[in-house]
Amino acid sequence: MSDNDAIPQPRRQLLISYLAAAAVGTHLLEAALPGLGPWFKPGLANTFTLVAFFRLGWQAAAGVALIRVLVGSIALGTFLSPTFFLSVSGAMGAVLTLGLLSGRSSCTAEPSAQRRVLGGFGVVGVSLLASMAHISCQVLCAWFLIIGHAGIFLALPWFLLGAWATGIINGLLAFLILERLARFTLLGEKR
Amino acid sequence: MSNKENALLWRATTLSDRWLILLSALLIGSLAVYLFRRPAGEEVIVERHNEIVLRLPLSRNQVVKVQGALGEVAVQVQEGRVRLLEYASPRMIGTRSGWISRAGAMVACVPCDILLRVTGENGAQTSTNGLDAISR
Repeated sequence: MSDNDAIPQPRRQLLISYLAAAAVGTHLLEAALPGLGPWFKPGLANTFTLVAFFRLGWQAAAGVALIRVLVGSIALGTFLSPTFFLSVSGAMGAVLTLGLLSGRSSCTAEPSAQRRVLGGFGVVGVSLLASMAHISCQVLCAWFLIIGHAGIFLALPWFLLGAWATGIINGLLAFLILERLARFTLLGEKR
Repeated sequence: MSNKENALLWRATTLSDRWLILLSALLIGSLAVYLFRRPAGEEVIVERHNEIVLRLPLSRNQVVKVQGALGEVAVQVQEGRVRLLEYASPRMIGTRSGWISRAGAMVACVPCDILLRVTGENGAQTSTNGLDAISR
């Protein structure tokens, strides 16, 4: 796995930090959204994880996701609370999925919005799969930590439906960002 | 949906993505059907103070009076369904819940201390009873 060939280190770290900052910002904005209730979040912050994945590889995506969860929870005051563990479990599920999907072939230098991963999935497919993994891990975590009753699985179709819709929408958004990003050659980036 | 949005959906997705979108929707749909479908009930159990006071088959139409904490209540069975009729409790939630018929379904009148629950094949209930949690 050498995504590093495509983009030299300083530039890579810069982009990771930009994406992480954007993800944290979106995470906080989302937490302030009214009316969505505790059961549903669009997960817009994850678009930046996706961008990191398609642009820089899955380790970078893992970095962006973990920074988002850590900094986001500290800013919101939920660090080490049940909410935090739900966040971590979701992010872990999504990142593991990204890792599995990236296989050995994600280190190409082709335009990132058009990149294909294992199984021929593009941005939207990856987003959908990661979103499903995210919510499934969260439901499992909620079952272990909070609810402790198998009845929670009766709500699984609703959770999955939400993840399905937001997964597609976030995938499309990430695609648009990647397209935009591909137009620029930023400092030190080889095309 | 405008043409522009359609174009984005088309441009942004690969063949695998489109199949995934379709198949995952079908999978979620069938999971929902599998989880939410319950067999029709066979028997209604009437409980007072956590003790079974009456069992009635849903196959026979009848109205049976039961003594509750606020006086007599009626349990009406008709065409495979059952409902609780009582007019003494403040909010009549049990009566306003209406007919129930599926295995695992329940109706309760807390002030009258009466609980109706429908059981399915050989008295078995679904594992979760359609409840999020139970506390006593």
